[in-house]
Amino acid sequence: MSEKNKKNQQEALGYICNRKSGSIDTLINELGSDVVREFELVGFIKRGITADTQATWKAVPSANSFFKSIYGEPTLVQKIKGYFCHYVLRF
Amino acid sequence: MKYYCVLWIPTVFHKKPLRKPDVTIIKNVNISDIDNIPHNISVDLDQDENIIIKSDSPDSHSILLKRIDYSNNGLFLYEYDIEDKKENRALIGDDFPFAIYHIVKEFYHTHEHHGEDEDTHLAAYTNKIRPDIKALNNEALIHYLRNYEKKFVAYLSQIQNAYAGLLSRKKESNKRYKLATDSHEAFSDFCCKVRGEELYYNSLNKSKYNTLCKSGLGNDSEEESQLSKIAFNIENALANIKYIEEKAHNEFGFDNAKISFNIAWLAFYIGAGLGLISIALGAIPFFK
Repeated sequence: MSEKNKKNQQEALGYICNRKSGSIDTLINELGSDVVREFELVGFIKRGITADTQATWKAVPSANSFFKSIYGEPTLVQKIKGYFCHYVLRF
Repeated sequence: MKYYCVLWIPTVFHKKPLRKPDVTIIKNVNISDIDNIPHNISVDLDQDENIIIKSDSPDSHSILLKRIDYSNNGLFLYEYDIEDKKENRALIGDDFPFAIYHIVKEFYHTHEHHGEDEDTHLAAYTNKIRPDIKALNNEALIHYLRNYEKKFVAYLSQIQNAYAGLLSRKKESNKRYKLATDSHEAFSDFCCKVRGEELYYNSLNKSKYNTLCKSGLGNDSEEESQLSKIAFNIENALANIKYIEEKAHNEFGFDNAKISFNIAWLAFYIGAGLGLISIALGAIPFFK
């Protein structure tokens, strides 16, 4: 990761999921151009444009669910399911 | 000033992508992502498959993308004229806006191998000189193949991070509970998305116009060497993704046969327990 990428991937994905949309310039400033381009390529964000030619971005809903499933804290229901699998079903 | 753009309409077969018959030919879309600053435009596909992009602003300016050629691998060549006016640049500036490219794709493309919000995010090819999309190894084709290299390498990086995320989550749980099934499912779905993209990539990679972007070709020139590198990087990124996917399946996946077997045992224990309770309850009157 280049030195311009100020946050690690997990934090960066968390950032776009919390912010949801905004100006591309601000996002590049915050995360670095490499990370922004990577998120665009894998489809976590899509680009738009305002009438005064300002480039904008928006997080797609699947990015949010991916972030929560992979990096988020497991919910109580998930933990119960996990305990059930481990102790009752024994796998 | 005259410009040319080549928009690739992702297709899994080598034939001209067909317009979706049930789609309206005019789309009104807000292409700004900032809630309080909307940018409404309409995009119209006419009978000759030209595209007219109109701004809904009071001066209502428009840009005509005239379709002048297409190739069977899904490349569409358009010509357009933009004066260097600010209003026109709000529609198409130095880069062809992804939002407009996405709308054009929607006229032809159905989301067979991915969700609607997971469309291919590739940068459109533009040039002031007319490209020949039917020439061997033409620059538009190579542009999209290069995009795919970046795309698959980006996927690999995300998948490596996600795998590390899953491992640390498992470690944090101290193996007290099985990692929630939906975490592994989300990971598998993401890997599956790459497989879908690979199908579309193949229509470019295996098209008759691509003879140089193949791994293992000779390095006779700098260009050949560069193109060979692209193909190699894509192949290896895809192979690496498959490897991580399998590792994740072994680490976090569920063996359906084992689950069924264990559930059958659980059902047997519950049944036996209930049977014993009912025998015990049935025996109570004899002791009264």
